Amino acid sequence: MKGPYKLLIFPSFILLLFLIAYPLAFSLYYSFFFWNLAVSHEPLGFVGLDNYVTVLSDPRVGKATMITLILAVVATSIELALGLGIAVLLDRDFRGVGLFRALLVMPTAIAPVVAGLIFRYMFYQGIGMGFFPWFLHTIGIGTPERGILGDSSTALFGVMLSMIWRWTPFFAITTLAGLKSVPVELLDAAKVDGASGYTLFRYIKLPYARKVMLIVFIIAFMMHFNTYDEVYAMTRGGPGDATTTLSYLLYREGLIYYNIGVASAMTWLIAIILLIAVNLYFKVVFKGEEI
Amino acid sequence: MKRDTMINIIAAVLLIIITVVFLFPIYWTFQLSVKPPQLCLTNPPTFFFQPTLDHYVYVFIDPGRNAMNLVSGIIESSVATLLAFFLGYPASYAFSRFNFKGRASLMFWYLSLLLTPPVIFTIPHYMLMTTLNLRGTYASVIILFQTFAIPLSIWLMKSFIDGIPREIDEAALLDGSGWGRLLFTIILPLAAPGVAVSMAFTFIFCWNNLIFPLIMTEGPTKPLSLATFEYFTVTGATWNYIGVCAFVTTIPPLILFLILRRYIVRGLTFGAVKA
Repeated sequence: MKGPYKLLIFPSFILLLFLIAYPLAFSLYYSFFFWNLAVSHEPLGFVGLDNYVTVLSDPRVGKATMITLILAVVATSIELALGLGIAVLLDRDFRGVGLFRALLVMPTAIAPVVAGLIFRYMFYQGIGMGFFPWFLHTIGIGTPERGILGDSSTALFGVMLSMIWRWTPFFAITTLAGLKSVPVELLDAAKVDGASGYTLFRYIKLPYARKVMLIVFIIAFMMHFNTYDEVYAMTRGGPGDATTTLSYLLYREGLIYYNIGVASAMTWLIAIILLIAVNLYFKVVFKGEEI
Repeated sequence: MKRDTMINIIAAVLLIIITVVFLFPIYWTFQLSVKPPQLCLTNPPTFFFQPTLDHYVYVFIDPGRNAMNLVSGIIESSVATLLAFFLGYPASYAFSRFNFKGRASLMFWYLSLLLTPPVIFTIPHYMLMTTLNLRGTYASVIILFQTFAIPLSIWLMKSFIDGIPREIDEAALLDGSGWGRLLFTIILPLAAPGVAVSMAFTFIFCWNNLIFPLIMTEGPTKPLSLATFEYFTVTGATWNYIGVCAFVTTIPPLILFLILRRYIVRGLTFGAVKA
């Protein structure tokens, strides 16, 4: 069809272009200046690539990158595995299974920041005790003196647990959709040929679910890579830098320490990492496909 | 057949356990919101007690510190969703129907915005909105929500409009209908269920967003989820009120998820996976 597509797209395009291009241009420009808002309302001078050098040589940036990657890789992998397991259970056909499908997806609906608050309450250990430390003590596992979120060796685990709680149902329900996407005729044909149980799952259903699982894995991986809300709600990046993700580091540098120049350089480094990841996503999801 | 029944029983038992584990944190938030204060953090935890509505009264009615935050959150997310509809619907129609140069790249560009860490937009917009004196207004949050609300609603609505036969458009155009009439009085009623689903997901994404309200809102314009943090003070946290705010914040998305059951997979994968 032919039609006024430019006119139809233009309003949304122009607003988004402004909302995206303005920050990126701003960051690119000021990444070459020394500018701390706490010191001055104006940039204090051109410093060339100094901000990029600062960012790349700052051990906290390396550490935050590691923490972000560990969080993304470990949490997403656990969610994928648990999600597949639950999807296999949900894929069975018995009365009432629909109720489980409807109920289990609930954690996915919850705001990340609220999930963080809930888990912060459940991890609480101080004057009084939250559910998790009580549970762990009851089954004979000790917790650090300052609590799981208060100790730098366990805090990241705590943040991860709240993410695993919120994302596992998402993996389960999407993987289930993948398992269910096998055409009925194919399933029937396979059954006629004697395939059942494990064989049916391994050679018919799983290959069909693979693409969905890959799409979902990449979406989830990138969302984990952007983790900010849970950290804000649970630990504010602490104790020390134990849970400081790249997103939180950037926020802190820019809007708490007001280092606009350094934060701008950081913005661009994150944007470049992201560009690579997004391209990968498109290659996987839309490989030779009409959209 | 007998073996199948047994596997089903095992699956059902496992699913009951898993569901209880996964829903427990939501229940635990609810019980916190109706628990007497001295029982919040007992060791061992108190499972049975006389529930009270005092905390709800305190938070929303008397003195009702956070009633306005609830209203603000609803206004911000609803208006942002409406704006995303008005801007996104024509574009989603164009992406669904017209084949033009750069169409795929443009769609990818929209999609990439959904995967971008929002934090990289925050500093420049924080400075700009401060300069324009817009910080602390609904408008600032509503505009910034568009960074994800527009792409999300476009991708979702397109996935539904794709399902409407093109013959309808062609027939209407042959009958001399203009584009405006075609879009809003012919296609929109047909796409209404899909549009409603898309808008519901856009609303949930806005409602669950933290970072834009965090940098833009102050006092009464804060949405409820953000206002919750006022109950963490140097002397300690008032867990009951935190529980009330957290639980009330989860209610709208939970209800929408129940209604949208069939579309959850499509909504959360931005239309990429149709269940």
